[in-house]
Amino acid sequence: MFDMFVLNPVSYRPTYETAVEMNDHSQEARIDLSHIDGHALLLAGEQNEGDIAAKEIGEVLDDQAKW
Amino acid sequence: MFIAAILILVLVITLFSLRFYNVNKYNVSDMQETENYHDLSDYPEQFSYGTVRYFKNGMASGFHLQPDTPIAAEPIVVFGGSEGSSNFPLAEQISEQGYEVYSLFFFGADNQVDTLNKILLEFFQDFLDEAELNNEDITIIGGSKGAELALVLTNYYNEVHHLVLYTPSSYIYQGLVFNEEARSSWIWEDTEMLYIDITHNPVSLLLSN
Repeated sequence: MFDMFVLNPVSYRPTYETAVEMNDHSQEARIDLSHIDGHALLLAGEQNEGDIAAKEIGEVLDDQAKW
Repeated sequence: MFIAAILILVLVITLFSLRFYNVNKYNVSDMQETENYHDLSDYPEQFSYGTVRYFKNGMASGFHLQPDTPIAAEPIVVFGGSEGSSNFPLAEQISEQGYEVYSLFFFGADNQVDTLNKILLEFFQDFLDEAELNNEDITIIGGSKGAELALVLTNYYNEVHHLVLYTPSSYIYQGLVFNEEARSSWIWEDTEMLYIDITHNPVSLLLSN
């Protein structure tokens, strides 16, 4: 209510982080990265959940990724 | 009584000051307009170094930006995010460097689902058929929900080769709709893909909005 009134920007990070933690089948909803045969460039800021995902994806893809 | 009135006045001034600050810093308002990305008259028929063609095929919809003198590189597909655009400005910028670019909608066009909810991934096959890119390597550039889509597509289409992802996601999240039941964002062969429901969060996106 307070955020709505003062028009604070939407904060996505806690929403997505908590949703992953609270869902029982989070691992089943994880995207399979094993079919990527090219390279990936991953860009994300620290104000949303994207940097965590970029790091996770980058670590899985290893030499195939830059983030 | 006088002190209480002063405190209330300070509180009101503080709240309105914060509101004024946010409006000016983040350019937000409580009456944000939704942009229509599907009015074709808003798009050019050519760019600086080539032509633009709108196409529809099955569930595929988007623009093909063909440079007059293309460089030797695999075609690039660009997706927008949850706003529903085809990321056309980025497509234009890249095609001016000589890349052949396809700027695709994945919902909202008249041959697609209206909202970012239960999107049939087979739209990408319709695109491949239209562009005659079956079995050809493609680079996808996607942001946010478009990045999630790009990663999901790697599981079904060998054509997806390189990826450039802005604010990607490791997980499949629910569709982003507020006037109907949000289910999975993606459907493959009539089956909803398992997804994370963000409204399980007590600080849900709905409340945040």
